[in-house]
Amino acid sequence: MLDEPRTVFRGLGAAAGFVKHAYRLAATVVDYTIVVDPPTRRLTLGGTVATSDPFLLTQTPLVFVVPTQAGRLRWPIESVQVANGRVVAALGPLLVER
Amino acid sequence: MSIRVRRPATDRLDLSDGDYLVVKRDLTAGEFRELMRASSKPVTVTSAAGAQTTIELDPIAASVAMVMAYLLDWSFADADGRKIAIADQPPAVVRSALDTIDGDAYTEVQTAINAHQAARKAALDEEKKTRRGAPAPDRTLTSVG
Repeated sequence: MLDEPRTVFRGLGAAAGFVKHAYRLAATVVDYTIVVDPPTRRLTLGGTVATSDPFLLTQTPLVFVVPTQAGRLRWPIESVQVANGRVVAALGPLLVER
Repeated sequence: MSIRVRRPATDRLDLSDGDYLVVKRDLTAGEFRELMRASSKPVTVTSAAGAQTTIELDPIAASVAMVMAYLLDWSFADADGRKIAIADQPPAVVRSALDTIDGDAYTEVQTAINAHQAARKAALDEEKKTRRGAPAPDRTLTSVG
């Protein structure tokens, strides 16, 4: 049970997260979740793509950014796939920017 | 093969009273086209030959468009001392924030960004003059996520 993937962050409805190449917007993601796989501690983002730029999604490095009242949450993106309006990305460790 | 894409770098522009802006170092072709589009307005001229619509520069829109094109973040706070969030905000929010700050503060922002744009143009012109063959790949990346 403890080894099952669990949600660590969730963005509901119109609360968007952003896939960015530096400041350039590669994709806007809504209804997203970030889950952790306890044995490996790997983070995976899954969500619905509201807008996307296919070229910028091929660029590196990419980050997933969530603006919050306390600052911006940023996860480096290790790999990303977008298909059929859904995004799945492997994330690195969380960085908080105030 | 020459490199025609710059990594998206940012610069910090220091203002009075310890404030600062974070701006794009350069605009891409698409960002420049958007700047031109936002800086112009359609004008319909009627003559004996009929009505004709042309585009002309709108100086007031152009000044705001220049600021909007470059500005990514700033240190400005509201009347309660809370930072006014513009990073990662939709253009309408940034525009509203720009409309809300004091006139003097806006003038300082506009002056700083115009100076930055002029300095970058001069630097790029100089780079073209001194370039020998293709530029080496830029391995550095200053990011504002």
